[in-house]
Amino acid sequence: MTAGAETVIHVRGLAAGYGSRQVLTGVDLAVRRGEILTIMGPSGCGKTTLLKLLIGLERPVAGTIHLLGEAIGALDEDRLARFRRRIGMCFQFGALLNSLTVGENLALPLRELRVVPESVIAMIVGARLAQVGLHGSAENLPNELSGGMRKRAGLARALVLDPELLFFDEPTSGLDPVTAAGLDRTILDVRRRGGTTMVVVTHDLASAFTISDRIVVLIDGAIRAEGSPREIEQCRDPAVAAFVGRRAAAAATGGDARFVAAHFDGVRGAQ
Amino acid sequence: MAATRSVAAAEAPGGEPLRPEGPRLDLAAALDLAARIAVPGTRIDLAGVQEFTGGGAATLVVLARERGARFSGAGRDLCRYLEELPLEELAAAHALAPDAEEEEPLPATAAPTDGPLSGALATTRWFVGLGLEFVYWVAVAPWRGARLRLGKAVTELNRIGVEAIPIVALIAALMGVILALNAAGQLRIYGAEKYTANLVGIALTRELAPVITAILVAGRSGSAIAAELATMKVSDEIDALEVMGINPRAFLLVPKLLAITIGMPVLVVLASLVGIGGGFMVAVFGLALPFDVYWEQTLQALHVRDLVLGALKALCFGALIGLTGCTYGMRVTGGATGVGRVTTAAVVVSYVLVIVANALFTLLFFLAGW
Repeated sequence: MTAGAETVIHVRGLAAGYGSRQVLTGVDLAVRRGEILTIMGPSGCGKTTLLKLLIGLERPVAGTIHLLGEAIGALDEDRLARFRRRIGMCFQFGALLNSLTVGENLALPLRELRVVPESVIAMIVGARLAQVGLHGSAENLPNELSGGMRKRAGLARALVLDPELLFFDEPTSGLDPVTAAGLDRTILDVRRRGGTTMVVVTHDLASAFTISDRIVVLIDGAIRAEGSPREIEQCRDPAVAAFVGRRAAAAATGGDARFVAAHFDGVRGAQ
Repeated sequence: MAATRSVAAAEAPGGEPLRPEGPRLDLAAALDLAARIAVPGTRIDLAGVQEFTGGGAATLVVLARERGARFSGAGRDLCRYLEELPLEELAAAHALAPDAEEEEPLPATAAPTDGPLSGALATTRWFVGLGLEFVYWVAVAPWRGARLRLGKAVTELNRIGVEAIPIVALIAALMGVILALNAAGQLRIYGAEKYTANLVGIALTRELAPVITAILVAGRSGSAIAAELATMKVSDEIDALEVMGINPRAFLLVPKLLAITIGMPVLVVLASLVGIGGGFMVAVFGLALPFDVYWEQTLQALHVRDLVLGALKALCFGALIGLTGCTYGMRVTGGATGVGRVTTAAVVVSYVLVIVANALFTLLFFLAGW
């Protein structure tokens, strides 16, 4: 079990659809331990469906998904529930339970295990909130937080069970560039500390090129290109180039906001 | 809990140290390891740990101290981390429930999935499946170690039941008044005014109180259940629970269903009594019927059986309203508009189900001669 070599996510021949509409066709994926894989693509290309299939919220029409060696399609509800303690998911808008405080939201998965002492729970919750830069927000209700803070809290909640796999749905969408860059850094920091494998679904090009080891471009429900950020950037496929080209154009005009953000570290510290 | 992992390092009796199964000491590994500490003085060898997480290390240390285990072979990073933990505070602050729970499989009725079935059929299946699952969670699962969330149910009971008392009482009292006035007007023709009491008592306890209360509760709480769940669904909160390994039906729906099925009979008995009180006010102060005559007539006409039958109806109506609200709430699609749509649908369908069920009940009771 040496880090980096082992394949922890293995998807073969995945197809999905709603009724007669085909959303995904013949998707193959392999993610190694400790890797950050980004799934990119225009809206409606099937990114979110792919993510939901990966975490077992939806069932595929065809194909198999292995996470950490388990075929998740074959798990019954109870085994799936237990298996899910090994994975974490960050939803687009945080998906915190609105009736609970941020601290209670983080404590929830730990309390549900019913064996972790309250004092340890308090410590883990405090540490995770600090890790995402939200110390002092434990007593707040989710609707008292900004969108970016909610996403961070969602990430903290996904981290409390020390997941081996972490999934993100649009972690930076709807955030200003500076906050988005901060979240990217948090994601990289989580990987550096825990060696966590991550799958990120996004259409934020700047974010994808910052955090990814590997990028998969999904167009019309099929994988159109796959490779390192540099390879994707230089991809000749017209559909991929058209999608990625927007980033090149932005960079050429000096409009890449993330570049600005990276050079004004002090601004981020003030948030 | 760590049953998803293969058990590798076996625990040997003769002082052989325990070892984590993999190179990564995370929360699951720590809990698993702690669960294998059989006797005080057990040694835990951490030499194989290459990676650790804060939660895993802290949990292991606290649980191991609790059970009198000792460590050896921890690497430099881990040692430094452990030294920085506020161990005394942690150890002093809690008392631990020692046993990991035994987890029981769900009944096969769970996991409703969207198939290519027509909407109505799928909704009905969901409704029936949820009903069966509710019975399982309330009647079977607690005996198998699963938790029935009574605290949450009490909170819901307060919201669904206690807070509904004023409006239910007001409407019931007015129903009693209206019934008594109408009945007295007709019965006066035959000089049988004192039978007003019988009519009010029977009509209220057996028919009107259950139906009127059900309509009020469907409007107040059926809609609230549907709207709350639907909002949670569209903001991914339900999915988030599932991904955390928490069954959203056991966690969210069962307490609501429990509260509404307990709350409805109580509200209906209350409504019956208040309604009879309303009729009594009319009779005594408006029709000049003597108090004792009205009282006697009521007792003569009304049996405990009538109250029980009314409460039985109420129990069923409560379950119907709760299941309808839950089903529509959980099956929402399409954002804020969808939330509005399923809330309306939940209330309308609840009304129809309650009225139809009431007709069936009354027919059944009539045929059975109750």
